Amino acid sequence: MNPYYFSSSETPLYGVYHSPAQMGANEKAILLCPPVGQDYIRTHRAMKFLADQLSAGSCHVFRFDYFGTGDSSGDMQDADITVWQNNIREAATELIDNSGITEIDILAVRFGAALAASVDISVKRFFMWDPVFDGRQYVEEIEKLHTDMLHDNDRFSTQQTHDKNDGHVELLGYMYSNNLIDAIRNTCPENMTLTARQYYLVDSADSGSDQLMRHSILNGINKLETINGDMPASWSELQNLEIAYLPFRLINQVKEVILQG
Amino acid sequence: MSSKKSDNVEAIYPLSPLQEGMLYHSISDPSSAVYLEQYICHFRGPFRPECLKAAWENALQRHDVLRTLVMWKRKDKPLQVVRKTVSLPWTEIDLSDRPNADQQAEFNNLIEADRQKGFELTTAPLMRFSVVKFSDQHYGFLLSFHHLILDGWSSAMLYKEVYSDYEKILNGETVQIEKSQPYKRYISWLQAQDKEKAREFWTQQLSGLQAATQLDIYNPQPVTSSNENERFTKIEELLSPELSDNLYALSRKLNITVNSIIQAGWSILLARYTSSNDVVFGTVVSGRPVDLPGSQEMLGLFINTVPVRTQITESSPVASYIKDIHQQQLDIRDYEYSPLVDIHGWSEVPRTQNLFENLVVFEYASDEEEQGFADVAITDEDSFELTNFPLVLGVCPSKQLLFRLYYDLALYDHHAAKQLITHLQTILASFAENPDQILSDVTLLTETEMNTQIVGWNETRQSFDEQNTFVALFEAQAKRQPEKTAVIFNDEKISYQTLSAESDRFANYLSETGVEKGSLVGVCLARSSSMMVALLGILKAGCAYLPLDPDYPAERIHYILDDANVTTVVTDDESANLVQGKSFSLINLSENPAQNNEASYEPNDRAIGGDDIAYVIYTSGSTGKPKGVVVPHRSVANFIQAMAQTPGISESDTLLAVTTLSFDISVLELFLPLCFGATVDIASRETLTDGIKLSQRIEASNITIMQATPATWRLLLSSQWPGKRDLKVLCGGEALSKELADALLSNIGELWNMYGPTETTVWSLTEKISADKDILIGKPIANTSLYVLDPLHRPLPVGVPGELYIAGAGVTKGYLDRDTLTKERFIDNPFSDSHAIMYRTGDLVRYRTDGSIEYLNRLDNQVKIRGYRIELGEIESRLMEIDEIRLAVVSAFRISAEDVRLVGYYQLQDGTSLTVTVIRNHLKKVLPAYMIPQNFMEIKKIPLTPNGKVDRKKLPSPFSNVSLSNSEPPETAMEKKIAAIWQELIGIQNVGRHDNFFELGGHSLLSMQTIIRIRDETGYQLDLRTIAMEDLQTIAHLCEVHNENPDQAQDMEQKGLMNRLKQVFMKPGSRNL
Repeated sequence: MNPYYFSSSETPLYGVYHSPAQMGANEKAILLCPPVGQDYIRTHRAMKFLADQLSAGSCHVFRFDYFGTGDSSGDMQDADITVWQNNIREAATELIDNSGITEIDILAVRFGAALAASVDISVKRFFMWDPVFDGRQYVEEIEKLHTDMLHDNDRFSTQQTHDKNDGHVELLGYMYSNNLIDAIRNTCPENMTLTARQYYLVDSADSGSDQLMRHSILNGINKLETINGDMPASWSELQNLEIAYLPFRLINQVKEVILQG
Repeated sequence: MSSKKSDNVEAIYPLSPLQEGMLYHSISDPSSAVYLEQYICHFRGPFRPECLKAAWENALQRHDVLRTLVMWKRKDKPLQVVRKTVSLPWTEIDLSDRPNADQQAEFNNLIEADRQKGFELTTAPLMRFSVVKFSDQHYGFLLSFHHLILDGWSSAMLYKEVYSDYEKILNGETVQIEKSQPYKRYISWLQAQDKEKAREFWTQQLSGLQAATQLDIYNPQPVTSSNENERFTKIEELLSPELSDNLYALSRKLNITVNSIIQAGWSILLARYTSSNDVVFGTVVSGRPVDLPGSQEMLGLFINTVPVRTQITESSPVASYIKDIHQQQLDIRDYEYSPLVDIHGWSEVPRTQNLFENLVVFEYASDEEEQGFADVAITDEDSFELTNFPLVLGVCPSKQLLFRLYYDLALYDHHAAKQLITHLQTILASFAENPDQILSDVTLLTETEMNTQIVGWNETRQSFDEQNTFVALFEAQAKRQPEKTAVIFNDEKISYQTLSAESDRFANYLSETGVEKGSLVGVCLARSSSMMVALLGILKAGCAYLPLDPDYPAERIHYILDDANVTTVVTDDESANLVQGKSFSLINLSENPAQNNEASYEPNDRAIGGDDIAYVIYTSGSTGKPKGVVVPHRSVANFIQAMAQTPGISESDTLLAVTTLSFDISVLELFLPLCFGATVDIASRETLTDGIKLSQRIEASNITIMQATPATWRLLLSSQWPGKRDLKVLCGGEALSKELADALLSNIGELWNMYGPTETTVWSLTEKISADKDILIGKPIANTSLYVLDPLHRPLPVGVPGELYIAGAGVTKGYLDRDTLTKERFIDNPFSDSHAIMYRTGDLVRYRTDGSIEYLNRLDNQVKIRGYRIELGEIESRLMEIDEIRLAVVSAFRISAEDVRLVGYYQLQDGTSLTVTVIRNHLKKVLPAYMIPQNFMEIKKIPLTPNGKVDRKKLPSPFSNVSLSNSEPPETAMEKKIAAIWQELIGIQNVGRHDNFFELGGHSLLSMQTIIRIRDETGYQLDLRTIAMEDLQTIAHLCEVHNENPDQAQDMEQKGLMNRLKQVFMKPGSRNL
C-alpha cells in the first residue's frame, strides 16, 4: 500500500495505490471513486477493506480523495463538479501508470457514481454502488437529514439552527458552496459519458428512493448485471448517520466478481 | 520417575548447547540418521567376543557419559541423566554356516537396519553393540552410538582403553574400574564462562558479514529424496606423496599446522568460486578447555562448530595469509566453547539463514594406528556419520593426506565434488610451490581446464573477408538476381535492382550536398521502403547512420544529435517535427530530394573499408546520459556472415522485420536477408504494437524467419496467434523463459535464442532451443571468443558463475567521445593476441560442461525491459533534475521471467513537497516510455550502507501487501497467550499473529521451550515437529491447525508430511546449533 500525492503540486490530491499480491497473468486494475460528504465517512472503511481484499488477489487498486475532501488539498467549499470530474480522470491516469494496465475498471459509490458516470472515459467495467442519479432528491435527502440532526435531542441539548454563510451552506458538517449544491441538484446523467464494456449495479437492500431514476437510466444500458446484498443501514436514516457502512458479505461478493472478470 | 528408576540416578545436569542442538534435530526427526554414529570393523585372528563384551562392560561402569540418557518431555529445559548402572546392549549373531558371499551381505543389512533404528534418547545407554561371527578367526563388529554422548577424540581414547582391558581380561589380569572424570564438570565449566567477552569477540570477528558464503555450482540433476542416505555421499582422494610432503614441509617452514594451510586453501577456493573477498566457513574444534584440568582425558561431547571468517587481500603474500589463518585459530580457542546459536545471534546474518554452508574438519588421528590387540587384527574399518551440512571437507592427516568430501546431492553432483577437490589441490600445490607469491596469482584451474576453456571452446575461426562490407555483399546479390524482391512494405515491393539504384542515387545526393565521408547522419524516419533506401544510401556514401526513434521524447532526440555532432538528419513528413530547430540540415525524404535534384544513379565511388563506421546506436547511460556505440563495417560483416551460417538464411527466405531502427537487432532484420538474396518484409508501426494485427500480418505474408524480443512473442501468443509451422524464430534482447520457449516450440519450426550486447555487434552467441533441454545462450558465433572471469579476470571453473567477456571480430570501437568509459569496458585481452580487446558485458553467466554458456543475471544496475536496455542510473539522474528531489534511486523488481517493473524512490529536500504527477510529467519529457518507473515511493531517508552507498536491499517493495500480513495483533485468547509466550522467550515486544517465529529471532533451541510452555499454559498439545512446519511458524496458522485438527501430529504422519519436515529442518535456521 503506497499513499502519495498526485496531480499538480499546487493542488495535490491524496491517493493510495495498492499493488496486487498475485502478479503475473490476469492482473486487473480498479479505481475506487468515493462518495462525498457524510457518505464518505461512512464508507471509508469499507473502501479500504475492499481495496485490501482486491489487492490480496490480482487486482491493482487506486483510492483517492477528491479536491477539498479527505486528505487532498483544498477546501470543500472551493470544490466544484468539474474539478471532481478532472480528479477522476487524473486518478484513472495514475492507476494506468502504476499498473501498466490500460483498460481499467471503476467502482464508484453513491454520488461518486454520478460523478464517474459524467466523465468522458472508457473503462472495461463500471461498478455503481447504490448510485445517486437524482441529484435533486439526493440534495433534499441530505438537507432533511441535516435539519433532523439539528433538532435531534439525542445529539444536541438545545435545537441548533441551520448555518448559512454567504455563498455556502453547511450540510451534515460539510460546507458546500451554493454553486456546488446547485450542480449536484442538477445532476441527472441520463446520457452517461462514461462508457464501459460491462456495467454492474451493486444494490443494497434499501438504497433510497432513487430507484425510479436509476431504473430509467440503467434500462438504457446493455450488459448490466446486478449484485444484490443486504445493507445494514439505510443511507437516509438519521439514526445511521454515524454508523460505518461495512457490509462484509456484499463486499466479498463484489470482490469475487471483480477478481473473476 | 518411579522410585526404582530414581534409585538408579547418579547425576542430573543440563545439556551443553551442542547437545541441545543435536537433541532438537534428533527428536524432530527420529527416523533421521543424523547424529547416529556407527563404527564398523572386522576382527581377524583368535578373537574372543566374551572378552570384548566384558571390556565394554567395564567401560560403561567407568564413564558416566556411557550411562547417560536425555529427558526433555515435561521439562522446561532438557536434562541429561546419568544412571548408576545400565545393561550392555550386546548382540551376537552366528553367520558361520552361511556362504561367504551371503555373510557380508547379511552384515551390511544388519548395519543398515541398525541405522534405521535410531535411538530412544530417554533410555541409556545410547549405544549398542553387534558381533557377527563369520568364522572362528573372523568376526564383524558394529558399534552404534548417539553423537550426543561422544566425539571423535573421545571414541578414539575409548577404543584404546577397551582393547587394553580386553588384553588384561584375556590374560586373567585384574582390571581396575575407576570412575573417570565426570562430564558434569565440563558442563559446570561451560556455565561459568563469561558470555559477554565471548559476545564481544565474536561480534568483532563477524562484523560486517551479512550472509553465509554460498557455493553455487551448476547441478544438472539435483537429488530431491528426503532420505538422507540417498542424498548424502562422499568422495575420497588421497593426495599425492609429493603434495603431502610439500604441505608438511610448508607447515614446518612457517611453523604452523597443516590444518591452517588446508583452511587457507579452502578459503581461497570459496573466494574464487564466489568472486568474493569475504568468506566464511565452519570448522570443528576440539572444545576441550585448557583451563579445565583433565579435560584432555575426559569422555563426552566437547567438539563445537565455529565459524572461520576471512577477508582476503589479493596482494597479500600466501605465507602471511596462512599465518593469519593460524593466528585466528589460536584466537578462537579462548571462545571456541560459544554455542553456535549464540555466535549466529551476535552476527548480522539473519536467523533465517545459515551462518555458514560448509565445514572443514580436521579428523582426529591417534598417535599410532590401531592395527590390533592381543594378536587380533583390526581390518576393514569404516564409519558412518551423517552431517546436516551440505558440504563437509574431512582432512585425515597421515603420511599422505586424505581428503574426504561429504556432499549433498541436492546441491552438488559428483562432477562438482571432484572439481572442488581438484581445485583445492591446485591451490595447495600453488601455495607450496611459492608461498611468497601474492594470493591473486595462486592457480585455481588445472592446465587442461585452461586449455579447454581459453582455447578449445574458442576455436571459432572462420575466414570471412573483413574488408567485404555488408554493403558489398548486398551489391553482389543485386547483380546476381536484380529482379528478385528485396524489400516489401505493405503492398509495395522493391526489387534488388531498384533498391541498389535508388540507394546509389541517394548516396550521390548526399555527396553532392556536401555530406562528407565518415559523417554521422541522423535517421528519424517512419518505417517504410524509403527507410531502406536511405540507410543503404548513407552507407554507400561512406557515412554512418545514427537512428533516432520517433517514439523518443524530443529532448532525448536533441540530446543525441548534439552529443553526436550530427550535421545532417534524414527525416520525413511524419517525423520532421521532432528534429526541427537545431543546427543541422534536414533532408526530408517525403520531398523526394534525390529525384528533385536529379542526383545520378551511378554507383557512388566512395570506398568503404572494414574500419569505417557503419552505424552508431545510442544506449542508456548509467550516469544519466545515453551513450553511442560505434560499430565498424568489419564487425557487421562478420556478424552478417556468421548469422548466415547459424541460424542460417537462404535466398528462399523472407524475414519479417519488426524491430525499431534504434534497436541494434534491426541490423539483422534489415540487412541479413539483403546480403544473401532473401527478402525483408518491413512491418508497419501500427502492426508492431497490436498483437492481433501482427498475428494477422504473419498469417497473410509468406515469411519464414522472424526475430523479436520475448515481449513481442508474448504479445503474439496472448493474441491467440496460432503459430506457423515453418517459421524460424529468433528470440533475443532479454532472457527467454522455459515457459515461453515451450509455448513457441509447439507452434513453430525452429527456435533460436540469441544473445549479445550492442558493444559486440548485435548477437555474439546463439543456441538452438529444444523442448528437452535447458535454455542457454549457447556458444560463440564465428570469430568470437568468450571468457567467464572473476573480478580480477581470472578464468572460473565450469559451473561457477562469473562475468562474461567477449572478444573477437564483433568487438566494436567503443563509445562515441567517451574515452574513459570505453577504456573501462573495452579492455586488453590477456588470453589472445589475435583478439586483443575484449568487452566486459556485465552479465553473470556460467559454463556448462560442453562449453555452452548459461545466462544467470546482471552484475550491475542495468536491466532489460521488453528488450530495451536500461541503466537505472540514467533514470535516477533524471529524477534528481527535479529541484525538490534530494536523492533518488530506481530499482527493478522482477515479477516473472518477462515482467520487470521499475520503482522510483525519492527523498525530498527538506521543507518541500511534490506530487507523483509532477515527477511523471518531467520524466515523460526526457525519457522514453519504457524507462519511466510505474511506481514511485517517497522515502523519508533513503537507506545507505556503511560505505555511503544506497542500500537497495532495505528499500521497501511497493508490491508487499502490508495490511494483510505482518504486525496484525493476535485476536483470539489462544493467539494472545501464544504471543505472550513468544514475546517472553524471544525477548521482543508486539508479536503479530502473522509474524514468523524464526524471523522474529526464535531459533531451534527456543522452539523446544516454546512448545513446552504452550503445552503447559494453554493445553495445546504441540509436537516439536509442529512448530517446524513452514505453515505453522506463525501464531495464526498454528491456531488454525489446532482448531481444525487437535490431533494434527498424528495426522501429519499419516499425510506423509514428515518428509516435508525433513526439508524444513534441512533449511537454514534450524541447523545452527
